[in-house]
Amino acid sequence: MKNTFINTLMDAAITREDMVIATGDAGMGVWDTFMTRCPDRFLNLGIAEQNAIGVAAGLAFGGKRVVLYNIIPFLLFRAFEQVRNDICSHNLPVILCGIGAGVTYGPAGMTHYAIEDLGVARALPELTIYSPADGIEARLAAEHAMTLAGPSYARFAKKRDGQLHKATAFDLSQPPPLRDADDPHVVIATHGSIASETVAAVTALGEQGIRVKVQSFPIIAPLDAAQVGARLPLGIPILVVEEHRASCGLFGALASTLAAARLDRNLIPAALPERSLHEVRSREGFRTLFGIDAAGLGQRITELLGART
Amino acid sequence: MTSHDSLSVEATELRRDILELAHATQSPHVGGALSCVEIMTTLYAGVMRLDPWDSRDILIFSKGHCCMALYASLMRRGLVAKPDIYEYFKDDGIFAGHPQRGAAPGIEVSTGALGHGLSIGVGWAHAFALDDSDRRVFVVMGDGECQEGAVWEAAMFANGLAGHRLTVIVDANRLQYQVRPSDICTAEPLAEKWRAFGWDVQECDGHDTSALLQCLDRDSDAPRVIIAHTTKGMGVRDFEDSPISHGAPITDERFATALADLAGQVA
Repeated sequence: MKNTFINTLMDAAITREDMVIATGDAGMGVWDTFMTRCPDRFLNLGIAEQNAIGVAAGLAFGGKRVVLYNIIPFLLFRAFEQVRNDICSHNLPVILCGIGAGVTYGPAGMTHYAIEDLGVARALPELTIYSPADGIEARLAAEHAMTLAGPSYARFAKKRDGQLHKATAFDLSQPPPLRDADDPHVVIATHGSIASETVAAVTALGEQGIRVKVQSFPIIAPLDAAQVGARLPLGIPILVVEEHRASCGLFGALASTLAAARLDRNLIPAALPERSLHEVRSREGFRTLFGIDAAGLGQRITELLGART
Repeated sequence: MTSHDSLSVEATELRRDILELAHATQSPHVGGALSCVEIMTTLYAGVMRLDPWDSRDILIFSKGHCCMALYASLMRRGLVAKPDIYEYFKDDGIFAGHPQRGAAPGIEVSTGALGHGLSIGVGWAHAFALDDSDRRVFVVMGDGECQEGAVWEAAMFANGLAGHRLTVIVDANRLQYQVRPSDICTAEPLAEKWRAFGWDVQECDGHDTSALLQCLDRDSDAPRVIIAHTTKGMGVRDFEDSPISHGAPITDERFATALADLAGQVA
């Protein structure tokens, strides 16, 4: 889905003279088509992350729509003040495209993980935040980002992930369920590449007669409380699955949005722990360790329902 | 070209405007505003193209805490009404203690966190280059600000991206908040550092509008930096070259003495 997002932007940028694409010496090969066809509008801003954000802001002040691509910690954490002051406070049309969401880069180590980036990004209210679950959502996110007057942040895993939606066009703020169920026992709310684990878990649970509906949230911010409330039913467990910390991730976003609107929902986090990750694990290893792979999620839901009966 | 004499008179008037504003509002950061008076005057009254406005040159005031110099400069160019300038540093005012874009025409970027302006200037100048525009970008920053790593990231990339469209003036008043930059780090040789990154480097007396004009008149294919040697608090006796000029207010006594000194200069 990363490539879908990039290719959608790249196809538009080739003909849109106002678009500039920049990287922090990342993304080997993914921008080759644009580099070849529009070399003047492609910049490699090197290993200088604060400058990269400032340059992107300056380009935007000069009338350009800028895509800035880098590994998430170097895009968002290193240069947070530049993102806050230079891009967000001025509401500039810069698309921050971050790679390595969650523990994608496992076992590269904690410096390369992005397990609190949504919290950082959510602290900046001008940012529209995308965390697509599949290629359809990624394409729609790219199209949506290019219409915005202000900034956006999109996060992706590195690896190619499958297509989960059957529909190819929908309102990204209210996507259809990734997996629907009549009178579900549990609803899963999720985002990003781990959505594929939830779908696998739900398929297995269905064979046991357990009905689970899966709702993706490709837009993490802004969230509309009424829309969130309509998508997450009252009274049944809502498992919020994410390859991120719950407190500052989708769980935190949903909880605060619903609480502010005095909407009571039974949200349960299924996420990474509230600490730095020092274990040496692959992405799949981390998912298994913390029970957010398909097997772990299936077991969790079975236990949840067992506890209720 | 604008004459040195007319710029010198204009600078004296700008210094008086800043003193009146600082005295009226009892606000801090007077010293760094007074050190860049001749720099701002030379840029706004002698160098920058502001008409037509839509294709104006851009000034990024990166040493944002010294914003009284920017606000008063905009007032002198007719971009801010004189009564409005006193809507500064107070509840429901127009102007904050650091520049905020949108408060008035000519406040191009919200600044205040040091080290941001140069990168933005590099990007903005590159946007002009992509459009094959002859518009230019000027960045005014401090010598203390040059401790920010982001300044040197930008300096390293400026040559390839911004070229001759970018000019930096470093207001080298040799004082930061409490100390001289050279007291706490290897601040010097500043000119050699810029030169090493491929910039066209000049140095001059930053209170001499003629010298500043001469530097700004020199063409270069590379981005230009002018290290303007100045005195922090220039024009207020006990502020000059003193750390107290960073935060202390312009008292009645300081105000009266400074105005008398300015009147003596003009006479």
